[in-house]
Amino acid sequence: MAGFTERASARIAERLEPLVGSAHDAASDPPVKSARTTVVVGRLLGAAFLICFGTGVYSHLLQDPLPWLPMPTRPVELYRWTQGLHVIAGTAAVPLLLAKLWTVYPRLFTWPPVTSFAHFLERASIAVLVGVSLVEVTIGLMNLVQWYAFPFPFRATHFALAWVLVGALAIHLGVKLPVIVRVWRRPSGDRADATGRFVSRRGFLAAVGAAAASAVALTAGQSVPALAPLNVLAPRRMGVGPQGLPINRTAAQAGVTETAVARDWVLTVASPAGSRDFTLDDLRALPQSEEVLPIACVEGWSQSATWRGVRLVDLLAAAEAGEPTAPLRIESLQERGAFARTEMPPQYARDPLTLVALELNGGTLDIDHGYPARVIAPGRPGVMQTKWLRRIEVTS
Amino acid sequence: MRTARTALVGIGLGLAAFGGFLVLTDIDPSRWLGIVVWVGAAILLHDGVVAPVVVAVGLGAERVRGRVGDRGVAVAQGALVVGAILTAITVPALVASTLGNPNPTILVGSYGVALAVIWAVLLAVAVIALRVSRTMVLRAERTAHTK
Repeated sequence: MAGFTERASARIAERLEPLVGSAHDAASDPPVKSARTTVVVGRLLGAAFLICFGTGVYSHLLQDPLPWLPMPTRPVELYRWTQGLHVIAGTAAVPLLLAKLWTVYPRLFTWPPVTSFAHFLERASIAVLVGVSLVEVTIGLMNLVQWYAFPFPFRATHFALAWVLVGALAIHLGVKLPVIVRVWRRPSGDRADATGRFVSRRGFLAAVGAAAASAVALTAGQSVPALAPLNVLAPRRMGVGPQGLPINRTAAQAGVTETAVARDWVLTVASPAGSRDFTLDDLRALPQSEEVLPIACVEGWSQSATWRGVRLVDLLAAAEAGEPTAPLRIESLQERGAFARTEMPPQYARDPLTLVALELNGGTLDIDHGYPARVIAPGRPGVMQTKWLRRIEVTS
Repeated sequence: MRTARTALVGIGLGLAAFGGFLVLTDIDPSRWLGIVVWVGAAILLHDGVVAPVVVAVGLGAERVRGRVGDRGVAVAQGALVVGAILTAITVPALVASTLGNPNPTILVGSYGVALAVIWAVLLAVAVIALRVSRTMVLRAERTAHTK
């Protein structure tokens, strides 16, 4: 029996080897698909992935704060930059990732496929790195357009796989360090403008650079005002939405079209000292403040806007709720959704810029922007800027 | 070197293990298979479809380079790469536009039109580059002939 399997596998190997060899020869282009090209592209891809990872972890910490790690409230546009950068770097990673894989594709057809257990582990780690990288950029792009066709939750999966990705990346760097160091230490003898079979190295790098630059230029305008005129491929456009501002979730989607305009609407401010209800007129009678603060969505789009309403500190004082030292519990009229109830760490609750906004860009808040009242705080993701407020609770 | 390599692999194992832990604790077990299938399918789709197509394009370029000239082929390849990448990052918007979204402030662009314009511009650039390059090749051949 053992002899039979051995003979069979030998026969299969005999047949496969020339096939794999010809695939390798067809795909290879030694002067261009060299270690040097791989290192050049890999460096950029690694930088893009690390930017995505850092900004992604930051975004998660803002959404699920650690009690012992206070998050910064300044600059007010900080989250706008980090999350805009997250999506821009992720978009640029698409051509860089495909270019990186192009340079190493012939190595897929190594023969024999596995030479030792260590070699098997190395190839397995590369399979994880490649597969997870492709999935991360794909579901990231799909999430931007709210196309949830994948059979798993976006946020938890994108976050967990990001750790797997950077882990596999570190392993990959560890394994390949001698090759990288060799390329860095001395001129590898190959010319920068080496001519390959398919393309010259300069031609290849220029094409990848042009693809990355055009992908960023034609989409980044949803978060970078200077690039807004070029924005033809991004899902959002600055200035497009009620009162000139995009929204992430409409009142109809949140199921609040009736409760938000109900005559008996009140905002309840509760604290250990007691609770007080504010009607819309009560809120309008309190001192009003105006602030310019951005809405910055986890989906990467962002835009600055002028908000007017009651400072949260003034409202808490009017309700005699005391100075918050623990996270506030904030409830929306919306019944469903992960962000119907959110917590606001005390540093945002005490921030003088944090408003219970009643007006936007000079008019009464549109129902899709959270009428009658919404939260707007500096440096927080849009999903935490609770709309259609119902209740604010100071906890001790 | 040895220390750095060991450290990198060690850190990597730790980070990846934490990612695996997050998958096991934060994501419902009924979704695990879906994640594995997507990661596997991504590898198969890239290695079995995307990469071979790119290799085929390269082999085609290799055949015509002598006749058309290196520069023209390089520009045409570059145009193809740019067009393919811009199309790839816009596919989600195209599909999601056909599915519709009750939010009127998302998917506000005309993505099909935008891509058509982009491809037309890239095609024009490629055609001009190929013609100029071919003319230069012919001229060089003629000069070599008359000498």
